[in-house]
Amino acid sequence: MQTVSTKFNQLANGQVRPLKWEVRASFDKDFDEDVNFFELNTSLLNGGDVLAPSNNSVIQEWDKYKYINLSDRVISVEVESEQTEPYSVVQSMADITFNNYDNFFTPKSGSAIQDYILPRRPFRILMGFGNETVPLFVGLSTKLPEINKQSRTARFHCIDFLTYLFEQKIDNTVMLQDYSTGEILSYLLEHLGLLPSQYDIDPVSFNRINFFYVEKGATFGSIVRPLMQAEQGRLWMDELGIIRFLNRQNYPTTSVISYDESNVVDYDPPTDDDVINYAKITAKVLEEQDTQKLPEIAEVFSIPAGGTYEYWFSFSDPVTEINTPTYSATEIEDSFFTASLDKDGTLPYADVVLDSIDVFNKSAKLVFQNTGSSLAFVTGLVLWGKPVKVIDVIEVEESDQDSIDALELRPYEFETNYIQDRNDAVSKVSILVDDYKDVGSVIEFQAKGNPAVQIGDIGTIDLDGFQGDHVISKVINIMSIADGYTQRIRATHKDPRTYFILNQSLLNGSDVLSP
Amino acid sequence: MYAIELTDGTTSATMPLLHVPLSQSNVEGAVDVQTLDNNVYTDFVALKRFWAHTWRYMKESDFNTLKGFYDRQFTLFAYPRLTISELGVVDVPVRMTLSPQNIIDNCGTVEDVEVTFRETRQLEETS
Repeated sequence: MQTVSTKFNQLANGQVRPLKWEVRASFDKDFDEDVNFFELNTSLLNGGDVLAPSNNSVIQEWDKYKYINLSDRVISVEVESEQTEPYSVVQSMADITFNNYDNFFTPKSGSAIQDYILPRRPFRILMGFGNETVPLFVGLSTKLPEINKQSRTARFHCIDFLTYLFEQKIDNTVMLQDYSTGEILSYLLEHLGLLPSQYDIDPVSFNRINFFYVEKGATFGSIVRPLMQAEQGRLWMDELGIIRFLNRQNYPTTSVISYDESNVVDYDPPTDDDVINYAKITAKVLEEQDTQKLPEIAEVFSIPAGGTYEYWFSFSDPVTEINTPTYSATEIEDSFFTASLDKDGTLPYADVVLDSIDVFNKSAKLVFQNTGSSLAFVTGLVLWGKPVKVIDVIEVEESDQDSIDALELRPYEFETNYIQDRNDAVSKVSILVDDYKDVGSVIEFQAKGNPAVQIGDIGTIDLDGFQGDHVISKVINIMSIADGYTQRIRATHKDPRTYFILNQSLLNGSDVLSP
Repeated sequence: MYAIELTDGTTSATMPLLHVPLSQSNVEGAVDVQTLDNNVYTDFVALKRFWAHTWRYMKESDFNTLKGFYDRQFTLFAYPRLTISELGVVDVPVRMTLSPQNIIDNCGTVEDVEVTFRETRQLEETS
């Protein structure tokens, strides 16, 4: 739960609730360099300073935009935050419909902002009661607004900054050895241009990856989702715009809100849609090998007198290191090349030298120079280096026979290179099956809404078919003039506990032994 | 005596003395929600006021004054402001509607002139 005042909670739980929303946007994307965090006895109330998150003192770049308040124009505002089940990342999106009677949001309309009605405009959304709101969303519009001439409205669709980052491509190959999930995340976020002050990574990760390898051009999202799946951690952007990663031991463990017939408007009956009673993980364990002769063989190529030749060498496995080849007339126990005045290699020719070598994980660029006055042939090229190979394939499965007997097989399988330890894999399939084997593991309901509720909160549910503590994994908040406030929640039944992993969990810590 | 005063970006006018009834009511921006235990709670955005009045007969010039305020909503892109001092209503932006011009004689007298005013906020900050 976000921290709110007693008055806020009184209104949230009250009979008559004055709704309040705030929508702000920065169409010109101007920065306000004077933005600072609010300091007691220093900052002006309702001034330009923004409230710092309670446990963090960073200033996010998106806080620095100059936002205009568009709250009076709002017809409806919707914010949806969802964690991909069963374990992964949290993404948020928002839809805002504005009154556009005067064409304020219509491009080329003579509006004061007409030059700035463009995609990727920053938006902030807050909701609350009375005079108090809590932040719910920080993100960007995806495209120009949808203008409805008949109803005189303009609708913006927005994604949070993390979702925007997921679409960004990694612009060179990444190869990391012996990195934890958190360290990889930090590396990638920094690679994408974020400052360390813009994210908060749990210092402890349970997954350590011998060899992390990503091809150039992969999107950040395509890398991070399996990383989170393997870690069973949670990556999200909080309501204040800070990117956060928590390992599963640091999830909230105590219930912060209760739901029963007095504050639930409607709920879906238990279904078997989300049941998992068989889980299988297939993981390839990669490891850097000792220096050895690489199996690939180069083709013969020629270099004109005094000229150079750029030769690309491709490897089937990634390599972390290549020994620089030198000319040798005979084979040696190291990288070398042979050169000759003829294609068959019968006339050795020592005037060919290696000018440069660049190694790119699964390829290497070698530039040869012919310093002599005759046409030369490179007739052999043998490289020695350190390849990274699959040394083990872990296949681990877990099932719950009672659930299979009752509900038929409900499998969940995934392949990953990010789980490197069999015990770890065993623990993960056990957690999966244990959490999802029963009917009614997941509940979706409409609550008497409270915008302070967050993904990851634990709520205690007391409804027919659903009892006990549930972890909230999806929240939709909608406020509108016509329909008031609707909050829809999805929550997964979970005993708040984690499983002990050898060499990773703390003795006498909060992890329990896997079933 | 109750009187209706209107102001917009062009002019101000006090309309002819009112014929009763003058009605004042609330526009509830509110939604009642029923929970599973059959109780209700109410979420509301804002309470706004609504006034309605009918002049049984109105001189052509007075009707034209009234219609001027109505028409200028769509040329000034702003609502007129209403004052009914006796009700404590002072300079309140209102969405105005006006009934058809039913002319009943050659002097241009208009019959059954109904005007309504719905309180709203003027969106001048961003426009």
